[in-house]
Amino acid sequence: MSVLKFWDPTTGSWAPVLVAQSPDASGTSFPANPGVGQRYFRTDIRNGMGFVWDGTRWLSEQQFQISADIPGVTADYQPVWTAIPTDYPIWLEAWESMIYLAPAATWVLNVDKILWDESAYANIVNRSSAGLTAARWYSYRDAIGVVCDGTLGNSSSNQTGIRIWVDEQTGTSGYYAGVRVYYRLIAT
Amino acid sequence: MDARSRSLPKPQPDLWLDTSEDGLDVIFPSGTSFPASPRIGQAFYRTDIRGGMLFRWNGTRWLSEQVFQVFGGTQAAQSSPPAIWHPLPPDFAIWVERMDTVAYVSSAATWTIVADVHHFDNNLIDTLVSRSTAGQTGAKLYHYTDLIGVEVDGTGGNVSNEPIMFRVTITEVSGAATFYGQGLISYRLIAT
Repeated sequence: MSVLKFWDPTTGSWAPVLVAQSPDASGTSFPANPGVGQRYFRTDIRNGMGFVWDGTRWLSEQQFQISADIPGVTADYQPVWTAIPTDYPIWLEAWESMIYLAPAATWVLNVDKILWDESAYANIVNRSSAGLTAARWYSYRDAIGVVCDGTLGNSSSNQTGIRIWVDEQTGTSGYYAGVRVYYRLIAT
Repeated sequence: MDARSRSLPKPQPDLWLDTSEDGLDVIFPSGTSFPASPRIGQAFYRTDIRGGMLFRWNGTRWLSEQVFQVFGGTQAAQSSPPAIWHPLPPDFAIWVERMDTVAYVSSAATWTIVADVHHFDNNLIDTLVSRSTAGQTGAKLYHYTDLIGVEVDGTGGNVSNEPIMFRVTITEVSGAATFYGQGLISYRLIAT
């Protein structure tokens, strides 16, 4: 860190008036009272990882991915169960999708959060093909902004997951899609 | 000399920005070779690696700050699907950190999801991590994280006995069930 100091004639010494955190500050616990955008490198997390305070959370600088590819299906696609971290909650930041329909039909691409023991499937984001022209590619990127916490273990009622699946609602068509969900770790 | 400079009351300033409190630079040091005697957590930006990449000294190695990911999984498999092969970087050795796994088995059965390094020419298999569903309750979702901590070097090229690659294998060991699962392997580059 850098410290702005002034000369205090009453004590005859330099006294701090402002402490500025270096962007390369590191350690095993975050500094108190961070400013938005402040960076801190945690040496104790996964061999070392940089985090940035976004005003609410310390988010990893590294952006991770959840990935699913749906290759030319003609009916509802079985959900893809995705591996999520068990050591830190994650901040689902955004998702990208690419969709191709053969003839006109309506499909909905879904990313769900699962609370398994509660049989709860909370839709996080979805993308409908309604109104799209058939036989064309469409690409999207949408913000998410949702926490998913897989740190609670495999005991009852704590099993949290993310699934990606596609639902054919009307029409008959071949459907192709690729999905990338981007997330960051949340540390405290 | 401007008016402000002329008005300085004494040669010693009243304010002083002390950047020596922890000895860190505000801008990451950079270059084409790492500094000697780094401290743990020290950062260095290598301008000559892959268009520029930030590395940190972890006490033993310079590891890329960026984490890379390898996915291997299957969707509603009724029996063992073919193994999935993944390329390893041919330019740098890697530090394989962990595998995060999700597993769902529709009814009681045992499946395994295994990540290994396959030495192609002599058919040697180095298992990095193996996760079994044995003992799990059927029709429930399970998440796991297995730490690995192994260096894998794919820089030997394609000459005899050198080609190696990641392999993720999902196997139905016993029973008859539907398996959904995915292994997510995380690694960093090692530079010297």
